[in-house]
Amino acid sequence: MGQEVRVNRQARDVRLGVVLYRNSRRELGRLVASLGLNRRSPGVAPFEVMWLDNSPDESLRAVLAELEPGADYRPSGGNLGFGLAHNQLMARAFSEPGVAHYVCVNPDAVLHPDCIRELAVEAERHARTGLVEARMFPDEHPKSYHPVTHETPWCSGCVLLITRELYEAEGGFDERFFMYCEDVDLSWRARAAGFSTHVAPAALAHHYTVTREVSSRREQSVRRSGALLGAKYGNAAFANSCLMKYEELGGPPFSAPALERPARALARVADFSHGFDFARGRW
Amino acid sequence: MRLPAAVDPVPPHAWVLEQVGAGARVLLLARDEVLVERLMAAGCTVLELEGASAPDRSLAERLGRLAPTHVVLSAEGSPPVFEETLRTVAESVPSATLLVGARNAASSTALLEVLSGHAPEVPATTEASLTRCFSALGLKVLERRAVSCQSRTTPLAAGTEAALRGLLSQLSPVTGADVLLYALAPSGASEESASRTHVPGLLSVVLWAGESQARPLLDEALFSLACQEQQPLEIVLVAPFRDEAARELLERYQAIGGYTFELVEAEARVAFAEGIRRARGQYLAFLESACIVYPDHYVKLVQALRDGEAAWAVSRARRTPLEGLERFVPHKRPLPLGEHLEPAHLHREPSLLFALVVERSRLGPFSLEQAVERASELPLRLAALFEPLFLGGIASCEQRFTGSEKEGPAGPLPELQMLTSLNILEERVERARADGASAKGMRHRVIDELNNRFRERVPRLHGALKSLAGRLVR
Repeated sequence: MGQEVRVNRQARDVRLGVVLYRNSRRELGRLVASLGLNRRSPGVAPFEVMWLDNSPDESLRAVLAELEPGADYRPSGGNLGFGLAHNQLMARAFSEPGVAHYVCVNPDAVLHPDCIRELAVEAERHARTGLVEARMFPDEHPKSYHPVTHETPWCSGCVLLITRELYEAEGGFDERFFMYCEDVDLSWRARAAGFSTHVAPAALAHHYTVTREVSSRREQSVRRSGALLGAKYGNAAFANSCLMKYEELGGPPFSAPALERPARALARVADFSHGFDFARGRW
Repeated sequence: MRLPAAVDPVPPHAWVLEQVGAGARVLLLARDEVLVERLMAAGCTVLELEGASAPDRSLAERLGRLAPTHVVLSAEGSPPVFEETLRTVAESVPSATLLVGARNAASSTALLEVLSGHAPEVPATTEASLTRCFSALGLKVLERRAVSCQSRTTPLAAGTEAALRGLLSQLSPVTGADVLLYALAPSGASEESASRTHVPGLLSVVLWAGESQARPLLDEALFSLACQEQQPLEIVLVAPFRDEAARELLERYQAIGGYTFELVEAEARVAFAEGIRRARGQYLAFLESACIVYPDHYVKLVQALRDGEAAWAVSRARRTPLEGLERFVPHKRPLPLGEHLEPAHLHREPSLLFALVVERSRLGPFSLEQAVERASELPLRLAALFEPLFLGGIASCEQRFTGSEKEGPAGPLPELQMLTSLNILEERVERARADGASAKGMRHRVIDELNNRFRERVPRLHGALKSLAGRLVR
């Protein structure tokens, strides 16, 4: 216990990781501006930002250099997907002993000036916190959370703090998920391992996708990840319904994931009863 | 039945006598024996212009020698002649108060009489033309008074005449005045025109930040504005005091949003009116600190106005309760429900004021500044004259509140005439009939209402039952 407290005192820094993929200058400009405002927020822990570019070329290098001279930009060498790219960044971040938390940040999000500070505050409010998600703004996710403890069944990866403790116990994202549902999986693994997962109500992140143009490729990707999640947690019905929808959407063939038998702790927290919401909704 | 307007003196004697005190030196530019007697009885000195006795002197010189404290003149007759006379008087005796009376050519009486063939001669002065003239001559209005129209002057059926006058008055309240009276004095600066042109394409959002309960939410309102996508954007923030904290927030979010802003001090009663006066945009919207907008809210509304001919557009909104210091949201209520906007929605849900955008160049003489003095009635007053465009679909803004829900009519239904086409009226009647006849619709409405109440009162049990129902359905 004494050793744990000492570690926590030493590790206070925060590392942010942003995975890029052909983003617009305007989108990155807004994110960089919001990061600048976060740096000036009173009481915020020192943080640095790492940028990993999944784009097919390095054209964003110049954009970022203009927006944030000296930015820690690296090309990934190919489209690694969300989870694998963040795992690489997370490994770098936690290789530094002073880093307490890693925060995934979607490049199309805009952080409220107090967002980083409030994520860290929420993480430190409770013992054995695994994940803390920012509250989506202006239309927050309708999934339930406890109004006092802020505990929530799963955390979105859009703007997500991952504690060193969780990383050391569970590792990062399951790299079999290319994109989507890897955040639900990490949340369930965290809870099954005894970590808590929270919303930080005062950490706002502007991110709105409701009116985003429907893309069959994105829908396919969601269903493919859904099928993997269902199979991983032994829910054949969910996996099959995802596979059927995937086929309906004209997704290219892939070998269906084998149905697994999850450990009892994992099976206890997995919840497929709310479809792709994975939690009871408030509205 | 006709107003004996032609025989009434303009300006009326009683008003002139109110403006001058004993000892005043009053010059009448038009001879009026009765007024002369009444002024003298009130202790005034009545001056006369030298005419034939001094033909070699200019009007300006003669005026200057008389040194009146007040000059009474009527705007009857040719507008250029009146303007020239006013200019000469103002320049020659700059210390004098000018008392001007004018028949209003845009009064509902004048307009209806012209249409009825009962008014052979209408002077071409209106409030707008007089205001332009005063501004151009550098005259400021010390006092303005409007003499109301008589209610019945034409051979139209009483109900028709009242309805037409009502509509005209809603469009422009000055149509309700037969005679306009002004006390004027030089302002020291002449202006080209009092009317301001609006910046094409610019959206001005007038944001009232004076409600103390909602004030902590201002930060989030501005954050949402900074992240919304309609450009260019101007924020006119109105507060009841010099608000440096609001300025800091506005400056802070400029880094993200790229908007311009203006801070205006005004009391709640005139906040939106003052904000409108300062707003430069062709498009205009209203917000308060408790509101937030989604990124495409204004984009959709402005685009809908550009694509069509409506004067204003309104989106679906949400009413969102915030609980506790951490602003927990137990539920959100969309408004209005359904795919059609009815006038009754605008009355029952006055906060729809914060879900609309107005295209100002399509309002003609309708004065938003005046109409917004009763802000909760503004959507209904607009709808009475301008058929709105309702976007329906997904809600794109929220009106949040702390404490108990205060939504509901802000007052009784205002007495308004509605300018609506027969087609629209028939569609509304048809919808109402279909709703009434549909037992299914009624059942759904009852279930919706019960569901809302259940969710608001016992949210956890509601959620559990909803999940159970979801599982059973699947």
